[in-house]
Amino acid sequence: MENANLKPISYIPKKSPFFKTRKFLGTYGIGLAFILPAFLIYGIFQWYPILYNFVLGFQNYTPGVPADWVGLQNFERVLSDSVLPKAFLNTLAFTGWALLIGFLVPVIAAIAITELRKGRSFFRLSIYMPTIIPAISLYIMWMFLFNPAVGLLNQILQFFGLPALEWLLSQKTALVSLVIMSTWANFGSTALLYMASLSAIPEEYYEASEIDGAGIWQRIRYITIPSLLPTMLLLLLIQLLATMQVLQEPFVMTSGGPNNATMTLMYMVYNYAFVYADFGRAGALGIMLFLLLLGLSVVYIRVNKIVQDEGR
Amino acid sequence: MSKVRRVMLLGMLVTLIVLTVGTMVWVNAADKTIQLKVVIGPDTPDNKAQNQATLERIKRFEKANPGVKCIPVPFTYTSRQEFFIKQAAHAAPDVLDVWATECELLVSKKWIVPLDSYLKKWDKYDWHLPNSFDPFRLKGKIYGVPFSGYVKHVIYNKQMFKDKGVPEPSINWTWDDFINAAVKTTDKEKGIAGFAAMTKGSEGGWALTDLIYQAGGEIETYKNGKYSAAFASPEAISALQFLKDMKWKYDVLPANWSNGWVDVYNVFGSGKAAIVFDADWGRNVAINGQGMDPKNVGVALMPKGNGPKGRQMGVQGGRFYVINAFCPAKSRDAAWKWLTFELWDQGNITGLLNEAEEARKNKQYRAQFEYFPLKPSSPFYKEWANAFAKNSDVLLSWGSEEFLSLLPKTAHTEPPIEAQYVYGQVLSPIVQEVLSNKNADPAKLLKDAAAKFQKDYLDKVKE
Amino acid sequence: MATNDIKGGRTLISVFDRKRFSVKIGYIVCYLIAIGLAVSTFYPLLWVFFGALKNASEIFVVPPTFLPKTFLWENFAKAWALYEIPKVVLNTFYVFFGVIAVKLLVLSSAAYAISHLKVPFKKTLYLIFLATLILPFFAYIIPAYLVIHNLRLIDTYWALWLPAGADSFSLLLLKGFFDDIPKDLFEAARIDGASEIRVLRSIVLPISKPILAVLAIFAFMNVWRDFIWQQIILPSASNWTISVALYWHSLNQQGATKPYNIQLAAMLLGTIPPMIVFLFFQKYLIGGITFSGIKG
Repeated sequence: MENANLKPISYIPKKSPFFKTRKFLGTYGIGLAFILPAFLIYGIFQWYPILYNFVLGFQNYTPGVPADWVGLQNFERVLSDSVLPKAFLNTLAFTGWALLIGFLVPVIAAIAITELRKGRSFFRLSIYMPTIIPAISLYIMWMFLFNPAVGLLNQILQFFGLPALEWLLSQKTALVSLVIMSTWANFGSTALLYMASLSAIPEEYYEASEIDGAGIWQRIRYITIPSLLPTMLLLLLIQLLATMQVLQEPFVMTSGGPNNATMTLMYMVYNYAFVYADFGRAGALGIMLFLLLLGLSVVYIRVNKIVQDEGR
Repeated sequence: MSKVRRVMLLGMLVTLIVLTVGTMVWVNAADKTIQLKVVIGPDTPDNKAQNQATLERIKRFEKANPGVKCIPVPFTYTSRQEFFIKQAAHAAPDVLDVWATECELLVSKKWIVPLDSYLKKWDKYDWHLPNSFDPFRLKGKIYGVPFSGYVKHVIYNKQMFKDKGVPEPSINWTWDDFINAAVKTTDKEKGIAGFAAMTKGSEGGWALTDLIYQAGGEIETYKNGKYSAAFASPEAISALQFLKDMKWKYDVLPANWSNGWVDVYNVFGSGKAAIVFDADWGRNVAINGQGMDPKNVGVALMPKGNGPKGRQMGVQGGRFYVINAFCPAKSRDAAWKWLTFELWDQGNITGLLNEAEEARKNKQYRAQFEYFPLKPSSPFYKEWANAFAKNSDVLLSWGSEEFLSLLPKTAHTEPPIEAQYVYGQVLSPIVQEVLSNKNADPAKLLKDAAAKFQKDYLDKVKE
Repeated sequence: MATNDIKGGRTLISVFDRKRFSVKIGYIVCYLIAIGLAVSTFYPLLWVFFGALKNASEIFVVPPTFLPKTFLWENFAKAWALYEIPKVVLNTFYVFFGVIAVKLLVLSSAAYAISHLKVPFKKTLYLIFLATLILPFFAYIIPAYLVIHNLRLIDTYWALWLPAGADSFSLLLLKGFFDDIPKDLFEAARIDGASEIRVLRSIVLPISKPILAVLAIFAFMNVWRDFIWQQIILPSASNWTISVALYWHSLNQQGATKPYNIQLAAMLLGTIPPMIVFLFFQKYLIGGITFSGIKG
């Protein structure tokens, strides 16, 4: 577009009204053609539904019936829902725990397994295992593991002489139990990315630093971590966004209980829409969640830039 | 440049294809035959017989009603989600069956139509118990036809009662008898609970209402054109206290007390609970799923609550046929014909025989409690009893005559306004609170919840 | 297997290091971590395996047994028939391959365009692509369903394949990888007169194998994990994937009348095919994947 604008208007030859277009296409045609399929797919299956949902937030919508506009009423009704503060805190807590546990475990696992001289492929397979289990199997299996009477986790605790826990049954431990489960279920795939990044670190870096007399910790500090940093920062954001949207685990395993201890924002959206047919309210909360995550992402990317610039 | 053109051409082609597909969507095949979307179960191996029966019924229907074409839509109303989504696309069935709690929601969304004009002309209308239409009666109109019902009652493991020397429940037993039996049958060593309650999801609230009714309480009351939340009454509080005591005082609940509908019957069926409440279908999970011996399943009426207002009571619910409001006007008559086609007639009987056949083939039982919304005098009963008697090897029935005659008197209909919300969002968290927090205060919990529900919902109900 | 492992070359700890005592300890710690993780992932599966062999009531026996008292192998046969394992597994793989094909076609060309071609408003466009990451799918499931319905794709696998092309996480990974490919690699090909499609197909994609393998794994995980959307989109049991079948027979009120041992057997049967595939793909997952963080 820029290029086309540079030409004085009188330059457009009268015989070819498409000159501007052609010029534009000459520059961008291939690029646009390459991006067109993605553009269509995104447009049809994501952007359109998302915009539609934004519209719903301001409407009183009943599926199958024309909707009417209600202004900000839906937002007011979301904000006055007494479950909202709890769900908000739960979501933050879930994200916090999931990042604390779920972010470090894959990094450590990846570094440890990469160092192994023997049996590396076996261990690699072992950590992928959970990622290939169908979700329902995962949840049912973990409900058994969490079972206070016959579950494996309490057996382990008892083996070490520790008191048995109530896991999903207690309001104090239910959320953390879900975090443990989802970490177990997901760390394999992220560890895989870290392992890939680790094996891409040139050997010479380590050689050189070793010759310079750097110890192992120094090597981790100055070579391993900086090499992993881009991957870590990216995955941190992705995990942040994904865990803020948690739904399936509490949906199947606790139904949000006990006493809303595992009720999350996304679960509220689900309940509004699919239990109470209050799609306007679901849309409004969806928008609020979108804005929250957008804000978080922007802040994150800013901080990220500062961190990376300093690193250089 | 030629490459650019080729790429452009490709791009245009893709756009063209998308546009054609897009326009195809809007072109509706104009058809003179009336098309009717009807429900069929998912085509799984254990569902084959039932689906076959539906398909045959469709064939008979189409033969009897030329010009009507039925399109089977795989559908269940087990979660509202599927219905809402399909409704948005006008893809939900034209005639569907829903729970007894759904009337108010479906009517307020204008998703179903009143059936009074049809009911007036229906010869079998008089067969029904007069109050059986109540859950789908709203503002003087009737929106649904009951086709199966239940009154919740107790089922218990006879073997366990015998092993522990506990007398079987008497016809008019009380909470004291109930808790005695539960305490005696509890065996923590073996992981056996005296009583398994539903506590997870909206079932938790649904199950609490049984106890509240037994104590003499109500969920919602209607007076002078106004609904009030009644579940903060002393009776309701005593009911919640009773549930709390089951956990903290008597300790008769399973160690893993967080159980939904399916879980409870799995626990019961695998011999890990002595007593559970059941509506109609839970014992099927225990018997056919967990392989429990049907001879060990005993039935009893609900226990009578403590206090002066105590009564034997259980939730009455069931399933209703409704007609989707998105069914085009010209198809409504056909929809009604389908709704009533072979109902209380050959439809039920052949369905039953099919189920019997299927059960025999799979070496299982048909384990379901029948509670028809019909008057005892209706001709249907005789036919049903005949079919039943001929297949008694796989068709299971329960209860003495005394039990069966008293059961209807223990029936309590579900709350008319926002029942699912009350169950799932109001009562269920409270149930979970008293079971996970030893110091929870039942009175305060119920009072706060009732006040909030009153303000947020009932005060907004317009008559 | 052991020989395969050594070729990885040196890593953080060198051969020389390993002679030192403190490093030996550290090395042992690495092993302990790895073994701990392996136990934590395999043990539950073993538990599922033994649970599947138990008789239905033994699963709830207190104190719990680890090894079954009975070995009811027929549970697997029952689950095989009841869940229609061969059919649903084949369906799942069918879905998976379609998803991969669409992702490859749509996302690799888009990532290539964003990375190396001229596109107007590139940065903004890229951000709009990525913005979809921050809106949870459930927030717009109804409109999404309406789109699928209006395109007449309900009960077809296209309803799962096409939307798979809108996958920002994969786009992000691909673009990051493409960014790191040195420009001169395809400049030479362009000078030789190769079209962009050719450059993408015969230069970019071949060296991107490692990242494509990663995408495949994530896609695989998504197909194997998602059940709510699949269940809505595929009402006919003949089209069900393993997730939908497991959901129906284990959690749905109407379908869930299956004994736990059968459920566990079916869970295991649903896990074995992907396990085999993974063993097969192992070697593609080793090697130099590098990608950088978000730029801009």
